[in-house]
Amino acid sequence: MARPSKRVVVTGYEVMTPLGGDIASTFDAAREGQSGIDYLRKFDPANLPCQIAGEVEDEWIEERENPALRRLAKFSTRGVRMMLIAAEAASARAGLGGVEHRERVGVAVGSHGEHPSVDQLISIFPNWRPKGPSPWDGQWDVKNISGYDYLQFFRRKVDIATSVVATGMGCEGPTVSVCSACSAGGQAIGEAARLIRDGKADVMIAGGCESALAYPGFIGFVLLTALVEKYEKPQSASRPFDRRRNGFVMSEGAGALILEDLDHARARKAPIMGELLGYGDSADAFRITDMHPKGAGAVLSMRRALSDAGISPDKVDYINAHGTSTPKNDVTETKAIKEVFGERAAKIPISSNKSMIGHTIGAAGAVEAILSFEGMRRSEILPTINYENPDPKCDLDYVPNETRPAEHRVTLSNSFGFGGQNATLCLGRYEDE
Amino acid sequence: MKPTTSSLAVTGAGVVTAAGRGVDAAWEALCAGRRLVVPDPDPELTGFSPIASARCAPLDPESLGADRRAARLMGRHTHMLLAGVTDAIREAADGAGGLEGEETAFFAGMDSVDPGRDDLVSAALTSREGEAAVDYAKFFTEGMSQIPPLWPLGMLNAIGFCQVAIQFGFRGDNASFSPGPESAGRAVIEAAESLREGKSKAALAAGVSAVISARSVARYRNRGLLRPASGAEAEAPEPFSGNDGTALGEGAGIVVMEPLETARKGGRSLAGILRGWGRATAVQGVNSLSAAIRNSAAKALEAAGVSPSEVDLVVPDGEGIREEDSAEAEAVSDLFGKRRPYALATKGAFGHLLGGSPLVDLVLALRALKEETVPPSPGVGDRARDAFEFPDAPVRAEKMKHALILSRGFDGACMAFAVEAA
Repeated sequence: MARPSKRVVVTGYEVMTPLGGDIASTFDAAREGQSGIDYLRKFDPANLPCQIAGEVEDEWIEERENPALRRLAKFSTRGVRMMLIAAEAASARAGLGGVEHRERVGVAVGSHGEHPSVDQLISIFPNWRPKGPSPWDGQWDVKNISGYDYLQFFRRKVDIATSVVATGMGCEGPTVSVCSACSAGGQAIGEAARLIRDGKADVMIAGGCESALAYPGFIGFVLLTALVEKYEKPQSASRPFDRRRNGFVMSEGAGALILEDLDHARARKAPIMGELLGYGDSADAFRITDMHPKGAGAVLSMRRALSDAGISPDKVDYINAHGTSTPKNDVTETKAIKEVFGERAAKIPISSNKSMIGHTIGAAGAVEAILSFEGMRRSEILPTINYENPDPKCDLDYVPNETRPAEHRVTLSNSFGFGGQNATLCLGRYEDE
Repeated sequence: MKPTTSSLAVTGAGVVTAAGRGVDAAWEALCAGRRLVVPDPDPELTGFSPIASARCAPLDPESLGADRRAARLMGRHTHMLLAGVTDAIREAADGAGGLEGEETAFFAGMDSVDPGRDDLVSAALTSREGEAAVDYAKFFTEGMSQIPPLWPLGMLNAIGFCQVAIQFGFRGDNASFSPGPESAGRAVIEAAESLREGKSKAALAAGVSAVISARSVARYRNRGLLRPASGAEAEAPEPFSGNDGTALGEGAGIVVMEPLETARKGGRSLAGILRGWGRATAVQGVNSLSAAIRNSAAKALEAAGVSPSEVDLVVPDGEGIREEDSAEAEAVSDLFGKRRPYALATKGAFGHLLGGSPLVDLVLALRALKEETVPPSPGVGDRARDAFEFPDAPVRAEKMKHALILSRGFDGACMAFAVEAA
């Protein structure tokens, strides 16, 4: 296996999660095994079977918003606001402001735009004009819809996060907007790395963001019974790989990484915080609402990431699992890891950040990649909290409940999307050769 | 000139437009000079000033092989994608064997997905209080349950893409991008790169338009992109005429590609060859739109190893927006000098297919090369006659070899593709 000729390194990163408004506070809380999950405050979930979520504190967002970029606020969803903050902080760490050739700096974000809110939906209901014998016969009186916020059309666009970050950060290079559900953040990072390897950009701001904690964004997952419904308290509801797991906890957040051509980073003496060694992707091509039962897509995705990185499975020190806490995902991911790593699977530490953060959907791949880099930098593997009842079908080392000090150099980070799109990132500590 | 990137064979193509399903239907409509952009009859749009559009006829997903359960979740954009992929696969499979599996990559540009009227009407009716008010309590206790459970999922752009991947068993390299023409351009580039890097043996690139509805019309109308009505009459776009504004069309374009050498060794029937591609972004005050269009075209030709003098046919974006048409004509004049290549602009016939546009244009360019014929460009005006040669009727152009397809998004992203006759 050969490594790609052009190396892609990470020169800055930042997250906003329910655990903290930045990477330091998020990682510090995670290493203490804290949970960012609590009762929903963004809307009244009365009568819904799931009433918890991982919310980012409003003040964390408001405190860090750049007044100079307020002009972009009207186009920005809550997720995009977090993405812009994360992108600015990551860029500052990377010293990106000093890069003159902005046409060589691009943006790739995984995100899904904003559902219309209940108020927005309801604001158009009075404008239904029945005509004919059945109330179903009629039309919307669009001319007289005055209460509908026309800017919602922009916020609905999948590419609004990419556009806002590119505009706010003055990036004139290639842009990519990925909409592959829960793997969108991971795929955006992978696509960004491809652009750098292909010589189309020197630097990419890459990542993902999501905030779907409003009624219309939440209700679909409730109706699909994908969300956790049985829990003693919010903080113990997300329990990946535990026998009592019964659904995921929806969450919000953003993660931004600065990916850079190694030669470019060296030339400008940028801080190098890690390396994106490889990227693998695949599709389950099975069912919209279920993973392939044998994890065929997950297996292919992990193998492709290793192949792309030019490393063998025995070099992997840690796996940051997709680990959603749903009954099916965690069993299937376990099977897939065993298929890829054989007997060695039992010896590899595997953990799920979602046990503490919840599932940030389009942001998950980015947030988890960043926590993986930070873990390699600090030589600490974050735990899977709420792991209390071993599941015989999930019988690997899930780093239960406590952070594990361990120097580790190569990490796989999995993201498996609803609908069957998969992404695996192979991440490494930067080794100067 | 030597090409700087490896060439790819197009072994299958699928197109859905207002002319119907299939490349033949679109090609014949062009050759007949048909304008399929007509006043939109949907009563839902009567709140706007008259709108012209080019809608596709309904497609039945079950007749396309979708099972009934999957079909319930499919929107019309998925029907178009499914039909196009079915046709492209059928053509490519002649001699190529099955394309499903881990070694087939699938990339698509999916345009915006909007809530359907019928998804919300029942909730609206249930929650109404009097003629012009809504009872929130009723909404949460009764109205909400009227919204189909899978509605929020159907609004994810990737779901239609995944449904098609499931139906055909595409498990390889993949991503879905959104929205607009740039997403489909990105799909072509990623599919090509996947083949070039050896990550797949065959790759599909697809692009799908938005479905025309009050939501999609409002989105583009609010941005001032649609051609205003002339009095009570809806107006179709007239590229390079000085009239301003485009019209929405529905449709999809799909190509199946393989490495050229592999396809030739396997004795495949080729629809054409993708030689190169280029991208550039226009940023206000830094890089004019005209320069970005020219740069993207120059990059595509350089990658293809083709000089501007060798280009026989240009397919401009030609969306009918005055300033952008002018910039495009200027870019082409800069690139080609005094020589005026034959040109084909499709939006006067099919409307602006947004995410479907680049691939439909690419497929029709390949067809023109294959037929050695340049069809007329319906509705095209006289303002670009210095840059392009738009025939008024189909002209025979023997030995046409190279075509250049220009495409751009609404935010300055410019793309160009250089293709060659098989």
